[in-house]
Amino acid sequence: MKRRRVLFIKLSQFRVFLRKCVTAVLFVSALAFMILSKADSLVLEKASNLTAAIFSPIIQFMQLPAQILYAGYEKVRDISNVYKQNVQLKNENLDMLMLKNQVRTLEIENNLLAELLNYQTPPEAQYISARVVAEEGDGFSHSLIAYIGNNNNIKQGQAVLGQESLIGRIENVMGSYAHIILLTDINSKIPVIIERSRVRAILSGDNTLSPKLLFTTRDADIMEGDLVSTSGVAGILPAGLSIGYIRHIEKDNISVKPLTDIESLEYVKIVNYNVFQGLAETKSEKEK
Amino acid sequence: MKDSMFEMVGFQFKRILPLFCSILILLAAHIPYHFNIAKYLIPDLGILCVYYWSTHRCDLFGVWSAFIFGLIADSLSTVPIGLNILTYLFVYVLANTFQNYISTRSFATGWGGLLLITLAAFSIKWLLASVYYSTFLPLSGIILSYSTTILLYPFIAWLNFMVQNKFLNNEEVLYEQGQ
Repeated sequence: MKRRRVLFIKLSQFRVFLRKCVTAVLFVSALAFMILSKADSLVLEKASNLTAAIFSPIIQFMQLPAQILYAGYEKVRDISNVYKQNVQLKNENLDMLMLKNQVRTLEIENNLLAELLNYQTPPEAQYISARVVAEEGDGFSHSLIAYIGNNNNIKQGQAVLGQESLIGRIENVMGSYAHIILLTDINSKIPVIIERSRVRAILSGDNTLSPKLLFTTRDADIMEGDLVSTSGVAGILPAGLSIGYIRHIEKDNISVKPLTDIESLEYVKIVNYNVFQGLAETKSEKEK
Repeated sequence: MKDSMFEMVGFQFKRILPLFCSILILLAAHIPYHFNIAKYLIPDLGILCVYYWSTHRCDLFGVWSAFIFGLIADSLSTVPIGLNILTYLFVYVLANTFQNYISTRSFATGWGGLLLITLAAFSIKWLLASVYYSTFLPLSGIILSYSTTILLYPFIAWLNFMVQNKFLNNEEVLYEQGQ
């Protein structure tokens, strides 16, 4: 059979050449994507959000069987632990009642002192619960995807809480889903404060399970076991949200252990704390 | 007329089946299992799928498939867009180069090939990510992730083999391989 020729080259050779060219172009495109992603390209971000919005419902659907199995297992486990939990809850209830009385006294005292000092309370945060539908975590990134429904109040940068403490922030909103960047991710940088000594620092993730404290002086008053919480600096996150405790201190390396077990999260709470909106409202009230 | 249309649909379905199957495995890897195991141990199932289909049916899993697959992986993750695309393209090119050798040898040889190609892919990914973030990423998590990726290959290969055996066994090679 006679072979076809395209400009003195065999067709098969031409195809191989074309395939190599396409491969090279795709490699260059991928590199260009990385560079554009460093420059925070809006088009690229939108395209990525769109792709994630298409695939997130599929992940949610795929987890249904696993969810049913897990719910069954949880039920059996709960039934077997019901007596033990009851005794524990009764003891906790007694403690809580005592604490409630103390809190009430402190609240009254706090209000009186605030009135005396003419203290302006910061805007109150709203909490929105969301179910985790996808998780991703390896040596390169730590993130979650949560189902938020048709909630328009969820915005980029808002704080996300686990059972007990802060676990991350909203990276972007993709339709009915939100991408949450965990505080262990390398992209996470959170202004924090040491509760005991009031030393301020930045908590930075490094893709391990213990994020690190940055921008502290060598003689800073930090000890192992100290509680770390958000400082509220920058106005995105509310102050006083617990994060974790100091786990280990070395020369230039202070690691923090998060209070919440971020490896097994089912539900998260998103904190809507728009301090700038609050400030704008206060300003307009004053102007009136 | 109707038969030819069904044939056409079936033909197109078979063409995208490897990519479709890979996407499903990738999505399954994102399901939260709520196990108290370290996040480090999460394997990169995408690499396994790209490697399998590039060595077993490279006529159905081309360079475009690797690119699209990488793009989906990037969009579901917080890594910079392009990082997984580059990694999967790299795996595709390497696996495709040695495809004739690997596909005619035993499973153990294929596994050995994966061990080396994945090592190269993880190294490239780590290097690119380190350059991007201007800091060296901790290696401990990456080494563990690499180990679980390698260990899970028989299972992922078996899944893909079942799909290949069921739907693509008698399918003729669609493109001239050109190597």
